[in-house]
Amino acid sequence: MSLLTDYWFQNRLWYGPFEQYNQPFGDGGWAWISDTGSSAATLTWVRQDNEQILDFAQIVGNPVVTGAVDGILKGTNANRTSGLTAQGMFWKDVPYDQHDAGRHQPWDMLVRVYFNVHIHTPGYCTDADATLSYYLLFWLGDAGHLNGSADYATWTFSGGWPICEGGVNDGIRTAMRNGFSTVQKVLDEAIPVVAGGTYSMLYFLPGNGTRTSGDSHQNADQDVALGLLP
Amino acid sequence: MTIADLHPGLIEKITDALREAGYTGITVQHSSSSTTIAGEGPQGTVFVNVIDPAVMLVPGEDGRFTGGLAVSKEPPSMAVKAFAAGGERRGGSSPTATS
Repeated sequence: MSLLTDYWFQNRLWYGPFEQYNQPFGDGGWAWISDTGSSAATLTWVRQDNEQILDFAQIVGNPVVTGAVDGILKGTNANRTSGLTAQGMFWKDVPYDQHDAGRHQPWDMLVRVYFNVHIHTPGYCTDADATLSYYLLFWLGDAGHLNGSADYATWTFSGGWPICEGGVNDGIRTAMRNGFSTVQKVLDEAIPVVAGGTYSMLYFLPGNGTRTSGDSHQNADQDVALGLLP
Repeated sequence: MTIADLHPGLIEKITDALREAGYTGITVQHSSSSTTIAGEGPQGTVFVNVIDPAVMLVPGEDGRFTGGLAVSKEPPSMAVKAFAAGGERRGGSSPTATS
């Protein structure tokens, strides 16, 4: 059975709360979905029955992944204070450095994996709380194999007042730069395990990519799925 | 680019002035956005934080500091075309025809 899926985003395309409705239909048939509510944006997708879904919430919650992230923080003054979360994000919405503006097209989609950390500072400064994010690229190679790349990192933080903000920022930058190789290693090891076949197409879906018939409510900031077609 | 690079000799002048004023145990810590000089004096510890608007950190409207960093390699040319909303267009389709 193929599947017609409609997504209704409350606030804006591919962000925040959304409603999803799945309507299966048979080969050569057709399907329809109606909605009487209001929304800021919609997305419609016809999904084949041989679609393979990778739910990032499950992947980034794996202890192998969280352990690797904790390894990035080892030896720093930071400790992780949240789980890992993944979301799809358009490049235009990534808070990139202006020097990097042309790295991607504005509407190219990356997978953002993010988590919170608490950063200890010397006693004369306030501690800092930060959100660290790695941005991943996915594509199919010539042979149809899934590839992934750790491409970009961002961070936001508050604290470090009154004179430690610079040190905190430099410490985060160094840890994030050094962490690229760890993230890439996780990708290189995980992809053959979770998607080791050959594929003709990949695409992103907001949320967990469920194929369950009917209505569901999710948050696009808290999960994203990768769809793969053989 | 640190404060010391932007203002050659400035940090030395400040540390010399602190020593002349009787401060001891003077330490200098550089970050990419400021330099902090600390010294012990008769009244306790003093910190001198030297900033330059050219490199200082500026918080955003939410009061938080933000940074971004690209990996040292160029992105693969085949990447990130998995889904593109198409900018201001109101629809899109797969790049190749399907039966």
